[in-house]
Amino acid sequence: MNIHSIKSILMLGLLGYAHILLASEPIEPLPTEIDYDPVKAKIGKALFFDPILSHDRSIACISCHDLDAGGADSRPVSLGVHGGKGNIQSPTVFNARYNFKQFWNGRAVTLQEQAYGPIHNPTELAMNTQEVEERINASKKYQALFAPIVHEGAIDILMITDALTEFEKALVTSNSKFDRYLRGEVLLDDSEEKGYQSFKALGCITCHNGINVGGNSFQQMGTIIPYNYVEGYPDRYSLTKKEYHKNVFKVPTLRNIALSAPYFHDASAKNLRDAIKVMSYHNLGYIISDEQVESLNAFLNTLTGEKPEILE
Amino acid sequence: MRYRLKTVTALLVGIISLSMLVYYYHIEKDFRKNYKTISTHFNTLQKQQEKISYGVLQSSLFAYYNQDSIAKDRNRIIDGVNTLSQHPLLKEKKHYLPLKKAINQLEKEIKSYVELIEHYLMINAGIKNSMVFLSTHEVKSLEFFDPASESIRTLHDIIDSVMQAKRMLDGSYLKKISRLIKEIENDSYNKEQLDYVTKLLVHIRYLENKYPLYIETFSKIMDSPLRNDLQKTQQQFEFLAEDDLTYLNTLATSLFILILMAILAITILLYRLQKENIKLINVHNKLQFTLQHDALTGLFNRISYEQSVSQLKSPKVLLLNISRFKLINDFYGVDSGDQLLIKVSTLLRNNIQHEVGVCYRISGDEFAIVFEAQSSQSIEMIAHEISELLTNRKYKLTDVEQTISINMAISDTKPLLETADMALKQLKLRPVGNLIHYSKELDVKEKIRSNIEITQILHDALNENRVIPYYQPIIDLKTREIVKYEALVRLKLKDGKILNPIQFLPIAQQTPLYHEITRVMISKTISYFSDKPYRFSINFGMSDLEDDEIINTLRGHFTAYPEVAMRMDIELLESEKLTDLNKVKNFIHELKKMGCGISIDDFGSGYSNFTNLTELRLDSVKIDGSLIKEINHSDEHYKSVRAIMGLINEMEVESIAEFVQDEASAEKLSELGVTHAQGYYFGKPEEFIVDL
Repeated sequence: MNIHSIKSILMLGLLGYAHILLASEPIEPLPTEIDYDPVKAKIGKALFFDPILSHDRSIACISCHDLDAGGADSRPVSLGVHGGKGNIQSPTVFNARYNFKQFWNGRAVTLQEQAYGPIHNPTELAMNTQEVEERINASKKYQALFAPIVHEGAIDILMITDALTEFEKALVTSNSKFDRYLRGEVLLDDSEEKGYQSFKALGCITCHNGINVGGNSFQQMGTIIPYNYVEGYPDRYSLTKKEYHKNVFKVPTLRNIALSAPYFHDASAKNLRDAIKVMSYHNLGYIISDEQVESLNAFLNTLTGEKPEILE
Repeated sequence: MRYRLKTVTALLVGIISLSMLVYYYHIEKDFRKNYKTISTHFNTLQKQQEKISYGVLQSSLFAYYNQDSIAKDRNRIIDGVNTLSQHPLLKEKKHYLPLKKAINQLEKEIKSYVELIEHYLMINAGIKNSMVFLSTHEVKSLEFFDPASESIRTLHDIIDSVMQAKRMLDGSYLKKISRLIKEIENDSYNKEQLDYVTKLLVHIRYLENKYPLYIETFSKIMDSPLRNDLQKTQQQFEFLAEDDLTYLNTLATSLFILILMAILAITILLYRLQKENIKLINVHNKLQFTLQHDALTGLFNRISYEQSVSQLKSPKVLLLNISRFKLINDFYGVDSGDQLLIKVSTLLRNNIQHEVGVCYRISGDEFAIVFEAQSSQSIEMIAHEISELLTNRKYKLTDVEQTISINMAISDTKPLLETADMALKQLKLRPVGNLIHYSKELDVKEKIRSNIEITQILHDALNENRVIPYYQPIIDLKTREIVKYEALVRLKLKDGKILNPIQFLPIAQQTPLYHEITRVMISKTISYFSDKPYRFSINFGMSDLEDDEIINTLRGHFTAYPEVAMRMDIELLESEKLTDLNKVKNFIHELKKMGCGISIDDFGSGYSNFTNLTELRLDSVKIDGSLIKEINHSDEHYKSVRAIMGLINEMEVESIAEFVQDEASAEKLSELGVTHAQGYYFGKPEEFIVDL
C-alpha cells in the first residue's frame, strides 16, 4: 500500500460513521456561450441534413438524430440505407460534446471519431472514405461551402468530419429550467423539487451527474437486479470481452430526456415513467411509488433545454 | 601558395567551428525542447494519475459526486500517454528504444488503469446506492418488527457488518453475514415483513457479492504500480537524456577548446603580425633614411632637400663648394676625396645647430645649408664662421695634410639651388672673396654669360661702338709714380652698365668677333694716347698676332703715328694655342723694331711656355693676379711669387704685379723685387685718364 492508500484509509477512518459525505451540487448547468467554429459548423449543418453522405442518397444524419425528437430516433432502432436495421436505439446528438465517450459502448472518444462511424457503417450510411470525398469534392455546393477553409488541394474526410464535429459542438441545449434553477434564476415547483431530492436520495445521481447529467461513466444495465441480456448486443462486452462488461453501456445523458422516447439501448421503455420505474428497479433495487415516479418525471422534464441557436 | 593554404585553412576552421556552433545550438535547442516536452508529459501523467486517484477517493466518500472531471482525466491520461509514445525522439534515436518500450508498456498499464477506474466506478455506484438503501431502510424495520425480535437483531447485525466493512474497507466483516442471511431467510414472516426483508436482502446480497470486488478494485487502484512506473520511466528517460547531455557537454567542451585555440591562434598571429609590422616599419624607416640621406656623409641628400624646401615658406640657402675639389680627387684619389667630404660634412653637421639651419649634400663637393628664420645678415655671419671653420684647418687625408678653400653663395630666390649655383659661378669669376649673394643683377650677368646672348651683345656693341677701352695706371713700386696705363677692354651695355672682359671675352675668343674687339681696342687706344704723353699697353692674344687684319691695322697706325709705337707695350696672353708660331715671332720682331715693348701677361698662371719666352726678348713680365691677390694671406702664394721673381730676375726684365689691393701687398712685392704694380690700391680702370 502506498502513501495514497494509507491517506485514503485514514480519511475513511476519520470520517467513520458519516460514511456518506456531501459535496456541492453534482450537476452543472450547460454554458450559455458556447465555442465552435461558425464557418465549419455551417458546413457541418449542411452535411448533417444532406443525404449525400449515404450510399443511396436516401438518408442523412438527421434521419436518425431527429433534432425535433431530442436529437435521437423515435424508432426502436434506426433504419439505414436500403432499409437496413440498426442494432441499437440511436443516442441523442444534443450536448454530445459533453459526453466522455461516444456511442452506447463508448467506442469513440471524440465527436470526429464518432462521425466517421455511421458514415462507414454498412447498415447505416454505408459509404467509404473515397466515395465521401469524391462526392463532396464534386459538389458545387460543398466546393463553395468549403472554399473559406480549403485553400489548396481537395476536401478530405477529416475536413468533413471536422465540420460535422463543429456543428455538433453547436448543438448545446442551454437554459433548461433546471440549469436556470442551478444558476438561481428560477425556482422548481414542489413536484420538481421533490423529484430532484428523490433523484439524489435514491442514488440516480451516483451515475447521472455532471454537466450532462450522465455521459461520464459506464454502468451496467441491472446493477442490483439483473436486466435481460441479449447475446451480441453492442454493449461494452462486445468491445472488451470482459464478463463484467455484459450489458454495460455508457450512462446516457438525461438532458432533453423527456423528448427522446423510446428509452434504453433496447428502446424497451416507451415512455419516461416506465423508464424511471425500470431504472429504479434494476439499477437501484427500489420499487418506487407512483408519487415518486411523478415527481422524478417532473424533475426530468426540467432538463429540457432551449433549441440551439444554430438550428434557428 | 603557402598563404593561400593558410587562408583556406583558417577559413575552413572558421566554417567548421561555426557549423559546429550552429549544430550545437540546433541540437541543444532540440534537446531542451524534447527534454522539456517529455518531462512535462511525464509530470502531467503523474498529476493526472494523482487527480484520478483523488477522484476515486472522492467518489467513494461523497454521496453526490460529479464524475465529469475524473472522466476527463481518464481521457486525458490516455491521450497524454499516446502523445508521449508518438514523440519523434523515441523514433529518431536508437538509444531511446528502451524508453519507447517502457512507454508502450506504460500505455498498456494506463489503459488497464483506466479500465480499472471505470470498473471501480461501476461497482462503487452500486455499493454506494445499496449502502444508502440499507441505511434509509434500516430505520423502517421498527415499522414491521418487534424491536426485541430475533429477526430484527439479525438484520441489524447484518447491516452493521456491512457498514463496518465499508467503513474499515475490510471484507472480513462480511464473512459472517452469509450465515446471518441464511438465518433471515429461514425465518418466517408475514407478508409485509417478507416484502421488507426481501427488499433488504436484494441489497445485502448485492453487497455481499460485490463488496470483496469493490475492496479489491479499490486496493488495486490505490496500490497501482502506475505511479511508481511513471516515476521509474521518467527516471529512465532522464538517465537516457543524460547521455545526450554528456554528448552535448562533450560538444560544448570541444567547441570551447576550438574557440580557445582559435583565440590563441589569433593572438599569436596578431603578435606575429605586429612583429612583422615593426620589422616593416624599421625597414621602411631605413629606406626612408637611405632615401633622404647621403650614404657617404650621412647628411640629408638632394631628395630630402627638395622635400624640405618645398615645405618651407621663405627658405634661404647657403650653397658651398670646395675649390678645386676635383684636383684633390684626381691627385690623391677618390678615397681621400671621400675622406675630405666626410670631414667637411661632420664639421658642418656638428657646428650648425639644427634649429638654425639644416645641412644637405647636394652633389659631389656641393653642400647646401637651408635656413628659414635667419636674416641674410646672420646667414652671412654664419657663412663667415663656416669659412673660418673649414679653411683654417688641415685635413688629414690618407697620406697628406691638406687645406681647402671654399666658395659660398647665399640665395633666397627660387629655385634656390639654381640661383645659388649661378651665383657661385659668378663668384669664381671674381678676383677676390669667397662669398656671394645672389641678386637679380647677377641674373642679368648670368644671362649674358650664355653664348648666344653674349655674342649678340658683342655684335651689337661692336656695331654701335660700345666696345671701349678703360685705362688702369701702372706704377713704379719704388717711386710710386704712374709709369704707364694698361688698356682694358669693357663692354658698355645699352643701359650704360659696364661689363668686365671676364664676362664676355672667354666667349668672344671662340668667335671671329674676338679679333674685331682687339682691332677696336688697338684703334681706340692708339687714337686715345696719340695726343697724350703716357706710355700704355694693349692686351693681345697670341692668335691676334696671326691675324692679318690686326697686323695691318697696327702697321697702319704705326705708320700714321710712328711716335706712338715707341710708347706702346704689347701684353701677350699665352693661354692660346698657336698655329703659326713663326709668323707671330716675326711680327713681334717687327713690332720691337718699331719700338714697342713686349710683355707676358698672367705669368705664373700655368700656361707659360718658357722656351717661347726666351726667344721673344721680353721687356717685362706681368705676374698672375691670382697669386698676388693672396700674397698677404697665403704663404704658398708668397713662395710662388718669390719663385717667379727669381725667374724674372734671371731674365732681367721688368716685373709687374697686378691685383694689388693694399699697401701690405705692395710692400711685400717691393721686397721681392717686383718693379711695377697695378690694382685697385693704386687706381681702378677708368674710361678717361684724368690729368693731375
